[in-house]
Amino acid sequence: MIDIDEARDGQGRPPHPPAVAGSDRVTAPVPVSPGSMAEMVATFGHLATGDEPPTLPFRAAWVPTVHDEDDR
Amino acid sequence: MTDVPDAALYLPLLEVGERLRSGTLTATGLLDAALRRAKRTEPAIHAYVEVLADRAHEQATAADEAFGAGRDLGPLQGIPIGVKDIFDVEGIPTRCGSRARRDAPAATADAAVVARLRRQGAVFTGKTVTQEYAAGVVSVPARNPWDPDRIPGGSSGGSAAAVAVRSCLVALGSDTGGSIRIPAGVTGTVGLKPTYGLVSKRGVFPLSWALDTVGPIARTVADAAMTLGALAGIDPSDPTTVEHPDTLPASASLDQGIGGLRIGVLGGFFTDRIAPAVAAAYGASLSVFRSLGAELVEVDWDDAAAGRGVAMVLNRVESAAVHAATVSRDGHLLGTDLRERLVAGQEISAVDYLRALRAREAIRESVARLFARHRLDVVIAPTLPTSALLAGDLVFRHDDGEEPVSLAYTRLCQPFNATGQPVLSLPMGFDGDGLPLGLQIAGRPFAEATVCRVGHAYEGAAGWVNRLPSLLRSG
Repeated sequence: MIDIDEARDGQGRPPHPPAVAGSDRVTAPVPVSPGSMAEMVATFGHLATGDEPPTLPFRAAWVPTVHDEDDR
Repeated sequence: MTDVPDAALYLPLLEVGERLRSGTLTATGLLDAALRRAKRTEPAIHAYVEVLADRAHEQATAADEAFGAGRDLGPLQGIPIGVKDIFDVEGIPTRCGSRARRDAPAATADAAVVARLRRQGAVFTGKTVTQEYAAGVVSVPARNPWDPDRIPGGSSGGSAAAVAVRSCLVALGSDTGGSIRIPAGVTGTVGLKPTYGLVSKRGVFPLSWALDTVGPIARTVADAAMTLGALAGIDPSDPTTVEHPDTLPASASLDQGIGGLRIGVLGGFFTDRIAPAVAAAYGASLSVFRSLGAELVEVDWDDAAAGRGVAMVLNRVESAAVHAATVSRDGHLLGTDLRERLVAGQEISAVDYLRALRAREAIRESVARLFARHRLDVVIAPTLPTSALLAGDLVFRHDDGEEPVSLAYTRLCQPFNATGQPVLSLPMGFDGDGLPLGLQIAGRPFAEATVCRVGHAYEGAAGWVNRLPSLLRSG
C-alpha cells in the first residue's frame, strides 16, 4: 500500500526531479501571435457570412435533426 | 487480506464484476494489486498528483461489504478508478496542476460524475496529473509508460498513463481539444469523447464551456463503453446535458459485428503532414475493417480545417474568460505557456468569437451532409500525426516543416470538438520505436453505441491491446 505522505511532497505533486533540468515545466510553444489566431479565423471566415444569428453555445447540445437524406 | 495476482488488473471490467459478485475476487484485493502497481511505476511515470490509498481502502471495504450483503450498486462497484485533478472529489483539493491552486481548499462536494460513480460503489485510487488547467498536451510531470523519456500527451496525461500501467482499471478525463484522445493515442489506451451534452460537467473545472466534454480512458473499448454507461445522464445542474438513453453502448451490442456498416475513410486534412508510420498503420487498419465485412468509402471533409479553426478560437476566448481573474490576480503563478495563451485569447475580438459560433453551425451541417451523402455509420482518421514526442524536444518534424506539439497533437482532434460528435480513440499499431499510434472513430451525434461497436470489432481483430508498455516489460 502506498503511504500518502510518501507519494506527495506537500504541494500535491509526487517527489521527482523536474521534467526538464532547471525548470518544473516543459515549455510547449503555443500560438500566441495575433497572426496565428488570424490564420485560424481565416479558416472559417467564409462560413460566417449570412444573416443567421449564432447559436448560443451553453444551453443546448447538438440534437440530431435534418440531413438524414438516406432512409435509415 | 486477499492476495490478488497482478493478472487480475488485465481482466475485462465485465469479468472483474462477475468475479467480485461471485466472491472469487474482492475489491480490497483488487485495489491492493492496483496500488502495488502504482508503487512500482510511479517513480518513473508520475501519473498521480495524489494517491488516495486510505480513502480507497475504505471504499473498497464498503464495496466488499455490499457484495457480501447482496447489494448490487452498479457495474463499477469495487472497480479502482483514477480521477483527473480538475474533477472535484469531496474532501480533496482540486489543484488543476497549477501553482495558482497550490493552496486550494478541499472540495466541498463531488463533481457530478464522481458522485455518480461513488453512488455506484466505485473506488477512487487518486487524483491524476493534468496539464495546467487542462490547457495543453504535455501533462508535466507525468511520463509515457512506453518510454519514460517521452510525454504521455494531455491534458488527461496522468489518467492515460495510470490506465496504461494498470494502477487503476479506468480513469476519468476531459476533452476540449483532444485531451482524452491525445493521451489515449500516445499511451496505447482507449479514450472515448462522448457527444457534447451526454455527460455532466458540473464540478469539473472548465476550459471552454462550448467545447468541454467528460469521458473515460480505459484499456479496451468494452471497458470504456461500460464506464460511459455509468457516467452518462441528464443533470439539472448542467444545462448542456440531455437525455439520450437509447444510444449508450450495451455490452451485448458490441458483439454484433460490423458487416455491412459503412465507414468513411477520411483523407485530405487528416492525412496531410502525418508521419510515415502513422500513414502505414492507417492504411493497414483498412484491411482489418474490410476483413470484418465493413464497406469502406474514401471521403474528404472539406470543412475540417475550418472546424479546427473554430474550435481553436472558441477554446482560446472562453479559456481567457474563465481565467480572467486569475490572470490579473495570480498571473505570476501561472506557467508561461498558459499565461501567454490566455493573454492571446484576450486579444481575439468579440466579432471573431461570434463568427466562430456562427461558423460552427455550418461545420456541423457540413459533417452531417457528409454522413448523409455517403450513408456513413462512422468516419475514421488517425488520432495524431505522430507518436509520443520526447519531453526534451516537443516539436513534430514532417516533410513540410515543423510544428510545436500543442498544434500537432490537437490538429486532427479539434474538428470533432467543433462538431460535438462522439469520437473513440484506440490503438492502431506501433511505430519503429515501439510507440503506440491512435485511430479515431467518429460517429453521428449520440451514436456512441455504433462507435463502440466498430471499435470493439477492430480491437478484437487487430490484437494491439495485448501489448505491454516497455516499463512493465523491463522487470
